[in-house]
Amino acid sequence: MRPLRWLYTLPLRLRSLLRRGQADRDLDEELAYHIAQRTEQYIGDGLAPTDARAAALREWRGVEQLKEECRDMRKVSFIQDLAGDIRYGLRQMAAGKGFTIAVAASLALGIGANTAIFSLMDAVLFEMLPVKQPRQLVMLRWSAKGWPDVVRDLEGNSGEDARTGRSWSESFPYPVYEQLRDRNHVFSQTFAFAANTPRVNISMRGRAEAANAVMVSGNYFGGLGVYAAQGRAILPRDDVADAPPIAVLSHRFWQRRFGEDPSVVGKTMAVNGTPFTIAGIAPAEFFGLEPGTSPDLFVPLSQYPYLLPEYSAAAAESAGQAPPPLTRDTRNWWLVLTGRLLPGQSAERAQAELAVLFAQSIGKAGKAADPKTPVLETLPASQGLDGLRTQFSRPLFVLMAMVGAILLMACANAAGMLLARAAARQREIAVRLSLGARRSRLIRQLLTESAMLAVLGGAAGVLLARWASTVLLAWLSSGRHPLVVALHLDARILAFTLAVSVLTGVLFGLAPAWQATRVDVGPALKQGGGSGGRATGRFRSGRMLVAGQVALCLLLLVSAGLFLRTLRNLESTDLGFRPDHLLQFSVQPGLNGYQGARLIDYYRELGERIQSIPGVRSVGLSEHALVGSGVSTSDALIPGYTEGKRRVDLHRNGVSPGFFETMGIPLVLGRRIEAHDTPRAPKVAVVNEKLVRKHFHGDSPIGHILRFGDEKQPSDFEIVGVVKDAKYSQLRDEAPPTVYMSYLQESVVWSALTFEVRAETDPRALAPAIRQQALAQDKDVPLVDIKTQTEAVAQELVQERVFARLASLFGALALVLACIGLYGTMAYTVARRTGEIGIRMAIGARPLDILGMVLRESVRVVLIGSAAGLAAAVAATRLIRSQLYGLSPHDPLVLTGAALVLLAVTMLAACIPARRASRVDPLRALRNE
Amino acid sequence: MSKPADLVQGTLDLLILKMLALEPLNGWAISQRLKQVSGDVLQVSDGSLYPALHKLEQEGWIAAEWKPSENNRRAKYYSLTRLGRGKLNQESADWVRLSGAISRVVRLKEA
Repeated sequence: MRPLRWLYTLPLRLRSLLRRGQADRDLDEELAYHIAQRTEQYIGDGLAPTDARAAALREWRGVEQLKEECRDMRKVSFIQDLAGDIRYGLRQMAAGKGFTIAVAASLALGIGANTAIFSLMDAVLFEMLPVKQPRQLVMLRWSAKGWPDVVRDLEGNSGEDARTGRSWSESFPYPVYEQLRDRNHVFSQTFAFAANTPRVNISMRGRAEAANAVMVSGNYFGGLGVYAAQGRAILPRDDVADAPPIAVLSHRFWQRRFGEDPSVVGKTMAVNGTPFTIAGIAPAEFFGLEPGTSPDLFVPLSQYPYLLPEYSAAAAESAGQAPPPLTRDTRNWWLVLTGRLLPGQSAERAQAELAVLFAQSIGKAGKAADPKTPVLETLPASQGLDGLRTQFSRPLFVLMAMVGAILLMACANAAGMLLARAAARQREIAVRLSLGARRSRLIRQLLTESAMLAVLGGAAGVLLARWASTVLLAWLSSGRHPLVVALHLDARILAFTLAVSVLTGVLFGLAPAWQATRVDVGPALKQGGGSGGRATGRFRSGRMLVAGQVALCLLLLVSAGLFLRTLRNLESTDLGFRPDHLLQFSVQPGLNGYQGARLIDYYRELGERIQSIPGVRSVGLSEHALVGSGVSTSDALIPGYTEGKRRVDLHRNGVSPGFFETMGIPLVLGRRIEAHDTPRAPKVAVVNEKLVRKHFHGDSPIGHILRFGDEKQPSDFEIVGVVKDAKYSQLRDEAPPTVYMSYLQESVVWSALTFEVRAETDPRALAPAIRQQALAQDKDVPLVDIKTQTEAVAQELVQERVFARLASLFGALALVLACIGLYGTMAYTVARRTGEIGIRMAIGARPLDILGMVLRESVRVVLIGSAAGLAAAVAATRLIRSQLYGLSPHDPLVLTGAALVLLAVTMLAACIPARRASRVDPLRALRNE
Repeated sequence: MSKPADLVQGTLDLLILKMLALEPLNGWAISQRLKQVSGDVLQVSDGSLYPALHKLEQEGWIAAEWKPSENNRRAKYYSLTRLGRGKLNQESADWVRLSGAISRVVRLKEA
């Protein structure tokens, strides 16, 4: 019945508020009518008109006062009551400052943590690209079973769908792009960009440094609706083969490198030695289509020969022939294609038409039945490429769950404190109820108080969140691929915070408010809140709250334990090599035009120079660093061990003779790569034990052949040695079957290699000397990514480390909250039951018995909570299985450890009220009763 | 005649609601009717009638409408709403119970 009445009266109240003027006039008219009637009556009784009117008016002891009274009734009681409630609430809060601070602080922590995680989630998961109408953007992807024969080289995002067994990729060849662009009827613009962002050497004003470049089609900026902040963006006329090379700098790069100097527009800078004109600066928030990345410059696709050394003029010279132009190569899949749907066009229709066009463009029209035929599909691209989201969405949801638990605990704490305080205010409430106050009114007032506390906590929480999310972002950015997102404190975040605050206020205010007003007026008034009131002697609801908090606390402690152990396991996992005292860095001389013999000489000379530095034990180099770089794989035949034409996938790495010794990978059999393994010598390979186990079934592989290449041009490598397994790129996985060959005996010597240097003492201390040697050799070739091996490993573990840190933080926080809750509740119960304790002592209980009694009650609460928490932990931790390493989510060590910690700490907290109980002076207690 | 009975606020509400249950009335008519029906015992002061009427309207138990009165002047007529009817029933029951109890006490024979 009550909500119905509320609904009815609300329009009335709103109307009175809005039409105050009209209401006043109505009131005047109404009263005037009454006075007129009265006057008429007096006239009828025989008075003269003026006297009659005077008499009528005199009856009303003050018309204005009456009007005021009526207006008071009319006044929107809701808002007025609310204002009164707020004033009253403020007074209460000021009166109990300690209480207010305690509640507001614990709420601030809960709300702040939630807001911080949410703003990160928002930036990573929900943020749309800062381009025109992102919802119209659509990206293309293809999938097939197995490796299609039309694909020779593949770059960019790819993967395998575990469910269907199909592999997918987001890259297409240039000719396919042209065909789709020119022949479709569904896109207003079709544009492309390179899937990989190659590193380039930038040289300007005498300074050389490395930068990332995104190659984009001429209509990229136009299609996205992005306009240059300075100068101009890339236009279609820039994307032709002989157009003068231009580049558009990203805003971030412009800030960092040029200090936002507007005069750089129009100047020239050398990119890999070729002069490029800086045409303009991209707008501040624009980062391309891959959220979380931060490209430094954008160049037209047609300029690829200057950015990809294998297509440069110098490469053509040394190889004797030019490679097929990338723009004509149908088997090199390197472009990501995106289109903007025409208005009214649906993504499904677009997909249907494009799928047909695609099949035609790769010559597979009508061959859809063959599972190996790539099939096109479209994806919404409003949020850009998926990489960031898939990487972070699960972890973020887990974090959200954890902070949600913290918030619940903070609410439970606040509710407990409010319950206790409400019980103390029982007398006041009873008095007000007996004077006729409506119960709903009192509840509303109590709710307003708790909502105010929550809003106070929320405001503090927003400040906390600002700081916390910046710190969190910094932590997450210390990895190999720094996470670059812009955190805004925008309306959505604030709305979220407000909603959470108000919800929190209602949540923890409702139960206490309800219970408090369920008071039996009579007894409450009489006993003045001694040990009266309903069921507050045992404070059952308070103890249930504590049990709930204990359960949540255990859950968080268990997660903390699991993440900590995962991190520990990963950090101490056997890498297969010795990461101590190792420094690594990369060089990319190919970008400066080094080719063929000159390139080989460069590497050799640099290696010798570094070896000559005092403090250097040994030097090695490899195509890939073992940790923190990509991998190379090839398939090969092993005559005698693979049947017929079946090829096996092997990981490979081209290395120098000093590699194994520098990395500390022990030799097991045969020999390592040595100096006499030159390009002209017979091709040899060293394999790891895993390869032997998997493909040679334990036989000695020495002398056997690994046949790479293909049928027409096989490339045979003789196995001359076996080394111990070493991790390759993935820390979590076992070492894959790996073959090492001399980097000189590869079909092509790589234009960029990684050097590893083993130092006698501190590897970091060698960095300046190494840099000096490299500059002395060639000042235009910068050293890239200088770090120690331990740093490289640490960079791989950023997410795990952040999680372990956060989980521990939350676990500690939860412990604090649970202890406060338990302490508060037990202290309150003890205070309430002073009389009972006094009686017990009077009839012979010893202080120790009382102590035991209180402790037993505490233990019971904690045990119940722990049992619930354990059940929840067993159920919930399964969800984070994928993030763990080296232990099961139900690891008994972690579970028991967490439970013990919880028990120990909470018992400590319960000791204080227990001791106070045992110290009760029975005489005084009984007197008060 | 004794002084007109001092009415507690709640009772005035009950009287107003009952009056309006019979037919819609304006404020003046209510005060006249009450006086008439109770045989001059109940004389509601106008100072308490109008605030009571406005409060009842605010609470949603009575609704108001401007209509021309018998002498063609515009007056504000109040009528009982559905919610008001429920409130009236509840208040009447309470009153009957209370007054019955008081009567029983008052009628006790002195020893």
